[in-house]
Amino acid sequence: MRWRDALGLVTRELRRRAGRSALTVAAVALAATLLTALVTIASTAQDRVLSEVTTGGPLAGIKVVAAAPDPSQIGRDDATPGPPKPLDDGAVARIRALKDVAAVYPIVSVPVIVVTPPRIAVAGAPTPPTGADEPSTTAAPGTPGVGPNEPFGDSIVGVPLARSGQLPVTILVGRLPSPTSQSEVVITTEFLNRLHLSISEAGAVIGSQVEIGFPRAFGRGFNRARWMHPVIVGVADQDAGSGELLGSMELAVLGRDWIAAGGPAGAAQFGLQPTTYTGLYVIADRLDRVSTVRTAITAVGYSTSAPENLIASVRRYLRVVEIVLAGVGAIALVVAALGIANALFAAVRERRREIGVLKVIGARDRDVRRVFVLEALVIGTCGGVIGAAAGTLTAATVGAAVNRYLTTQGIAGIRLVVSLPLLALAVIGSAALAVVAGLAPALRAARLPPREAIAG
Amino acid sequence: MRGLTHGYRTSRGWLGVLDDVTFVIPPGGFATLTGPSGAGKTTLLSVLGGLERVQTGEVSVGEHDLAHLGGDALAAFRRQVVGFVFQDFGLLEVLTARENVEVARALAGVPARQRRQEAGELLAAVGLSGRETHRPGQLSGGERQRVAIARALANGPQLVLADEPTGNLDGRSSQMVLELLESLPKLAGVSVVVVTHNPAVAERAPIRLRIADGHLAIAAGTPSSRGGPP
Repeated sequence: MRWRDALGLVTRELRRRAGRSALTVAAVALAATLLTALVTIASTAQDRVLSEVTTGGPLAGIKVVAAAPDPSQIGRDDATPGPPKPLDDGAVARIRALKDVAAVYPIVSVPVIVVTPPRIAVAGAPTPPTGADEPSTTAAPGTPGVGPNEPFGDSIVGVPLARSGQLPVTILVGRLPSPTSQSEVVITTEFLNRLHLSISEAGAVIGSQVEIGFPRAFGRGFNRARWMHPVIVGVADQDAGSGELLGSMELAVLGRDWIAAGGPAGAAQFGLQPTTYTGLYVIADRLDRVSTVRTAITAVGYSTSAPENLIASVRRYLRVVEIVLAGVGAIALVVAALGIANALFAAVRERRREIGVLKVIGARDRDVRRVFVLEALVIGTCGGVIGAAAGTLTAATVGAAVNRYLTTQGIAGIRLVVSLPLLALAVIGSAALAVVAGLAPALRAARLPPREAIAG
Repeated sequence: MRGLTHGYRTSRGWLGVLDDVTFVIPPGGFATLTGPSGAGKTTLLSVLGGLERVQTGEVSVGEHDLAHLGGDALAAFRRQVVGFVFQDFGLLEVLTARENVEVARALAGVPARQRRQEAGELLAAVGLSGRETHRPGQLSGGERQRVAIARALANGPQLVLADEPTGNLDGRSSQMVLELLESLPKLAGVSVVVVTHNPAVAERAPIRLRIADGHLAIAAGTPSSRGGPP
């Protein structure tokens, strides 16, 4: 029997048992969907996320502080800084010129007096001070938080918000301030804790104005603050600098210059370091260059820290995830193969009489085998095509969800990598798997003695 | 067929079914085979039609010595030399009447256009013009059996073996099918062996074989009962 004739017989049989054929195809399609989706997502993650991380990004970031390095701490991820050392534009230029440095982002952390928003104030707490240019508090920067609605001293961290995707800043609720805005800030979870609010209750504080004052010494014990009322636009986790408020570089520089105008002694009184920048965030070209760049910055004379051990751990966990995904895919394939074999064994049982008829009228063993192998091939190919399409769709859906999240974080989205060889492999692999699973039933059918088969 | 002895291995040991069976049917002969249930009629037909290998004895159809055939050669024998007709028709339900006839030609490697034309002619010859595209489920019992006969004749066999071909048919259909089978020796020069329980059917054959307890008796007819060439 020719292949074409066998195919005609197979298609008619599949149509006759449409329900079972559809279920068997669905089993193969499900496995192919799972495999295609997992591999597409994994390869996208591998190719795009990891490569982006390893070619620069938060994981390849090195924190530099305005302090000399402590020689005994250099090899540690969270090295303790040595004595303070000014970090100016000259130092930034020197670090930017180092080999394997992709980018350098300045950070300015400024002491500030904070008054919590009245609308979320706890009943019974003191009323916040009102009116600008009034030294409305006795709390000095550096004083621990004293509870809702009471002024406390803290710091505001100014970063280049236009590059937030490259900085260790993660928006949890709301959004980041506009890049140059002096009227918007985000608060950290520590600030929320101070207000006795959980992250799920953060919406209560977003849109509120927080009152901040940059203190300045005017000599002879007279101090006054420049009061501002920025709006809280989001809640974020940040590791760029020490402070419960995060804002634009312009806002922080404004505060820094106001405090510094009170003179070195006055600035020191409020904890402002005598440096242009309190820190830098340096991005290495590649993840494996982080250590080299840290050493070079240390040689320039500044203390650094980087999550090198964390990166190594992340890479190990990613490898584990890859193995698990491959395992899930393999299990799906085995389940699909068992489904095909089961369906074909059932078909052989049901069609003994038909096999017998074919043999009686002269079909050879290989003719019968060809019919069943072809049936498995048709099932596998149909399942593979459907599964490849559904898998791509699934991966695209997941990719869209990831992109939505990344966009809220101010990070460029990931473009899904749809690999044509992968799709071809899914179809061919499903077909091959089906043929392998169908071999045993096909051999069983082919070996049926004609007389036994015709007896049904 | 000379000295055919045949049996089966069962859980309770060897079960002999045919014992030293010998008979000859001349080319173009029409024979009936009768006997009680379990006497070995179907086994005899199976061996004669190449569905089972010859265990002991000699079985020849034309120039084909079945004792020396096996595997693909036996399949080719079934394809080219014999045609089968069964009580329950043995048609493939998913195929039309014409496609059922075509399958036999497809197995012989005949191109699609040629076999399509031949199948149409065969169906017309058995009185089924206009029924070519009907599936077995859309045909009456008599019509189905005529499709089976057309298929049995598709590859120009030397021998047609019919196992209770009228067992599932009403009187009129039985009569038509029997007349068709009886006409085959004259029309196509084919030898025909019909297994039947019906004495009236058996009586119509010029050669009447009866089997009981594995032993064959020639009830009537011209062939030599023993010792002649198969």
